[in-house]
Amino acid sequence: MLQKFMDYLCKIDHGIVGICFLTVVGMYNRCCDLHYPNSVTFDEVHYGSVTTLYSSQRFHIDKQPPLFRLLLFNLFPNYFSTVSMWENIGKDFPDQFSPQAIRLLPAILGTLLIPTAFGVVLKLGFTVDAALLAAILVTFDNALVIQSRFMVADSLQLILVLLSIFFAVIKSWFCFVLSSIFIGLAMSVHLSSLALWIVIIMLALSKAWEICTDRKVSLAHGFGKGCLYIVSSILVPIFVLLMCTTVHLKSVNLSGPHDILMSSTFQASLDGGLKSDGSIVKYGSVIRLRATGDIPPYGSCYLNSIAQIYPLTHEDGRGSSGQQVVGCSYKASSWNVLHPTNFDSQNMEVRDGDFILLIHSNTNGTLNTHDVAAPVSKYKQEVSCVNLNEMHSPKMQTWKVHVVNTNGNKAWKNLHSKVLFEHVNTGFYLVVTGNTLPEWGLGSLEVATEGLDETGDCATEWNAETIPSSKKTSSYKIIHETFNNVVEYLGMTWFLSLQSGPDHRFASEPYEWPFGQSSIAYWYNSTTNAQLHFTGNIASWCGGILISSLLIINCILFALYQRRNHAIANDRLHLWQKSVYALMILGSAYVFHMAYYIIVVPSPKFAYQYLPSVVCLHMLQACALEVFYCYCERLALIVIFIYVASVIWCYWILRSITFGFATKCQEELEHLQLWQSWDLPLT
Amino acid sequence: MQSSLLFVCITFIGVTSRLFRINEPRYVCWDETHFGKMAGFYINRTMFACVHPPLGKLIIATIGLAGGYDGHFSFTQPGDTYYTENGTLLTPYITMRVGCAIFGTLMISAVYCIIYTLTKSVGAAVLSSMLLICDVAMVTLSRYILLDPIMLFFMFASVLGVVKASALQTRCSKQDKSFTSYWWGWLVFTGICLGCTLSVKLVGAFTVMFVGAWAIADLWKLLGDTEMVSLQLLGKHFAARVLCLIFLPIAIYVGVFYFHFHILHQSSDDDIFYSSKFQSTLHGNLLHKKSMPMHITFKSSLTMRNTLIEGMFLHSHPHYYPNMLEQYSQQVTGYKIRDGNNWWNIEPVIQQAKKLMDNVPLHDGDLISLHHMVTNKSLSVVIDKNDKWHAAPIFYWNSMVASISRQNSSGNDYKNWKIELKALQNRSSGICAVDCVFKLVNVAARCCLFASLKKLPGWGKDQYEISCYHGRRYEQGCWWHAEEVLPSSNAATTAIKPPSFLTNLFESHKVMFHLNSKLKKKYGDRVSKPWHWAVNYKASMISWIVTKTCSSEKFSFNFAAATIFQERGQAISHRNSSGLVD
Repeated sequence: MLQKFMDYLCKIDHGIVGICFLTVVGMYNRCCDLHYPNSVTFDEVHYGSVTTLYSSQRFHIDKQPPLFRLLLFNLFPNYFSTVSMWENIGKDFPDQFSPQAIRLLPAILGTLLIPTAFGVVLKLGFTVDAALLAAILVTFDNALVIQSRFMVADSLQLILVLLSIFFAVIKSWFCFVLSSIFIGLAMSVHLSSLALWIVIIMLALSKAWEICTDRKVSLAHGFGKGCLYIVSSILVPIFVLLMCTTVHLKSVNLSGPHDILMSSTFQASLDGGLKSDGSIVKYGSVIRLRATGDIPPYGSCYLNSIAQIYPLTHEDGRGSSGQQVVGCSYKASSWNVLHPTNFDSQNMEVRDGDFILLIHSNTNGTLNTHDVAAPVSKYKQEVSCVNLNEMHSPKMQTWKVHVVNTNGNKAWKNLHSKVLFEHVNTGFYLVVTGNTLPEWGLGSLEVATEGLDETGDCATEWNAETIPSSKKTSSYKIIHETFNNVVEYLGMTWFLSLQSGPDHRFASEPYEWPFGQSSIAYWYNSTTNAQLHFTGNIASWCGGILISSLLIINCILFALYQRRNHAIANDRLHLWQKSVYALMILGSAYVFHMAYYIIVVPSPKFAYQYLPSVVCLHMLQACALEVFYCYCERLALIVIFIYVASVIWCYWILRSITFGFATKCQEELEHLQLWQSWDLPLT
Repeated sequence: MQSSLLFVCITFIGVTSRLFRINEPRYVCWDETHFGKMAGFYINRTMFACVHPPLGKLIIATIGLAGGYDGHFSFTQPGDTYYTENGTLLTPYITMRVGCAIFGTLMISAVYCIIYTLTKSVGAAVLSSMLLICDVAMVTLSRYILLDPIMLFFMFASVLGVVKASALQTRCSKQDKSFTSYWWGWLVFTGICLGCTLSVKLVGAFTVMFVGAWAIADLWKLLGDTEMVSLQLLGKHFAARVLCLIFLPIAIYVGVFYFHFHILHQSSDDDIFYSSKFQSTLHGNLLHKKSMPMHITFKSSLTMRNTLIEGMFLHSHPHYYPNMLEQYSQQVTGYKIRDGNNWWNIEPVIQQAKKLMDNVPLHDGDLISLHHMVTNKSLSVVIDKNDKWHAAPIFYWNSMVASISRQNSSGNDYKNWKIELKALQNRSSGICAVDCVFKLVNVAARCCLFASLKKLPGWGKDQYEISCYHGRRYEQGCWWHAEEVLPSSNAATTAIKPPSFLTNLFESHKVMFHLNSKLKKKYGDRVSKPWHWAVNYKASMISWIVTKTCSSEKFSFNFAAATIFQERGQAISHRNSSGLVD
């Protein structure tokens, strides 16, 4: 019996044993002691506090799509019932809520990264040994370890991205659809997965080309199948992303803190949000005016007036006598729509081309513009509110309504119509200039008037939100198409992710990432001097860049050699094709991801955003090492051995700040400062 | 024969189309305000800061000089008339416009030659150049004092060069004209034009890439030709291209900058963009030929400037940080302008005082305290009652720095600063003015005096934040140097060493990129998007005036397309020519 079992064991591939062993090690270093530290750590404060908004079903929006938070809330609803638990970094968890349970999810996903990386390298056509090497590098990367030990979205994104690559390289259409689904899910966790989506589309194109040019298949069949690949790589991820957002919007159907960012129609679709007492703006209606579209820096902008005069005198001595008209990010004040001459024309509908007066409800000032420079944009006209009974006749303050999206019906529809206001006397149009007012404006935006540009475009289109008059209590909710809402939600997410935030002490620039020159302090205990830091495994990060560059050089040299018509052994050619394929997928994933952060994302950026690139780099360097092994066996073996040893050694050195061991003396910390640029607080 | 005749005709038509009514409009149009002004700077020899390299403006200045422009007309803003009220011409703007228009015409000739060389078809060549002649965007772009016609010319000239050079290489060894003087001529021509393109505008880098890709494709062809091309010959081809297409353009680019620094030596308002050492080379600047004490001593009075771009002076003024007790918190800010409030006195920390004489130079590691000259308060990190430092207003993880009354003895340790010289500098001799870059480390708080490029809110009078930084990552904000030092009675003096050419080159590029990064699009700006260009969606107005004659020049978009994706004309011509030939 025992003999049989031993025989059976001997038959098992060393790859399986190895990967099982590594997974267990990975499990140990990711899932052990998750209750420590027993307090909210770094980004947990963000994820925690945003996720609590689900418990009250109130509408909210974040810089990233909702999948991770949605998952957290549905798995652990009772952790997110109170905001106070997630108030600030360093706050201890209450006794009945152990952080262990909630941190286990990312930890397990982080552990799964190890066999998945193993699988990807195998599927790319490399040997078990290379795959094991990749798994070792992933297991002993301090950055991946620490990022899996807290309640943050990165390990979920990483595993989805890796699964997507894994299925994309398998030769079957079904697997390719699976891959598209995974990349869609990855995008629903974090928008940076867009970079990998481009890689998947590229792969689809190359597969389609391969099938179409295959003479064994009929052209129609090949063409159809090729199209299927391309279409599924594009449409499936979009569909998944839309579905995730729909689920999110369905579960937060009450009006909430971030309503104000969304368009009027969107707000009307939320329970307790905007209501309308009629769908058409009439003379006598009281409305709010909202600039459509996303206006930096806040996203939303409402027309507001303040009972103060502009505190300015221009160079020619002229100043304004009217009161300030500004743009606010909140629903500050309402405006009364009146007919300029016929004050009895209450309840007549306002239509495209009609003339109106806009009276500010709180101060009774009439919206006016005149030939005085605006406070910041000197080439635009100032907008102010004046009192009708002074020397100003209503004729001077008349505005003409231009409904942009008339759709045949020329009425000015509440919430839906986009409207331009033309000042009749000067012919100028009401716009938000995009400038923030100086200090006297308390952060409000400048509102001014300007002429149309040559193509007849105006910078700002406005939206009316009527305020229900007290008599009519019956209000009906506008059921807007979910699709439009979802698209708008994603658009706003994208807009928010492109807004730069305030500077951060631990922010870094992408060029600091490849060599791991940036560190982030996650947590600090002043009594034991225990510290948690996000730092990469310097050995494998720097080594990866070096080894991958060597692989690129090798591929180029080989191509030159081939061009020279030198006879090449079949296995070498095969090796070259393999490495070019791996470079095409993993290398371009690395480059696109970095490009996304360099070009698209504004500061502050953080070193943990480099992780998807790092995982690709680890797999790529494992492939590269196999190629070198095929060239010079003995030497490569020694180099690989030393390299792996140094990676593990580096992991071992840095473990005290990865796991937050108590440090006794100052020197110990100073030894850990591997790069001068690391910002370890020394006390 | 036929082709050269047509070439002359095309050039003639091109010239006519570009020069027609070139004196209209008779006022400064659009970017003429920039480039006309800068040409004037070259003629006046005034140093300025600009986002573009100098060659284009140098050419415009040369043309202006030839036409008799003396640099007095200032091109202040678009719409300024070129004539006085009684009709006398203020500046020879027509000559300058004609000069630019000639470059715009030569570009068409270059395109004609390119297409003819590529296709050997006169029809294709005529068609492509006629398309360019009739392109209203190209017409408008070529008629004003702008950099674009000049850049477009050099761009297509370099493409012409590389096309001609590779046309001379053939697979048949008898006809192969590689390494003849003719071939070398075209290759060198390409290199020169590439250098010029890059020296007019940095978008020329895309042309460099295009030509580079062409050269690589050439080499790739040669590489595959195992019968005809030996490895040695291939090496020669490679070396020739490296020489002509890499080193030659770099040499020209650097040479243009050398010329630029050689010409400009007058100080102007733009000086604040440059470092103190650079400023000391400019006539009329405060620092020019100024003699200063050789070393900073324990009794010096000085101003200190940060080494960041647009570096600011350490400044303090008798206003207080909001919400703070007044005695603790006179503001310390960064100020870009020379001012009486930038002056500080160095004093030794008390314990050391006995052994120090007036003229002992400061050394690396010395402890000093800094006193604001006007208000007589000392620079200190702000601490509260519990001996904890106070957070700075913007970079809240830094501690606040303020000038504190000298009588206030609490927290005296926080008034002591240690000078740490930047590595690589000579530590043995004392700390010198301007040349020596140092860090001021607060010993008690363990942080260094730090300048951020963030403006303080209104209470800070539009000046910049100075704080004390505890980490080590953003060290670039921590480096200071003494700028002006008051001479003491019997100390040796020395003049500021002029910076080397390479330092200047490096610095002016830093300034260029810094200025470029300041240009940002914001909401409401009327700019077109790249996709507009391809379909000619938006027009861009060059000048517009409401008079009786109502001369309005509109510019059907291509402007930006022409500048950024320069190969457009070529794309059109390729499209046509391939249709005609095959």
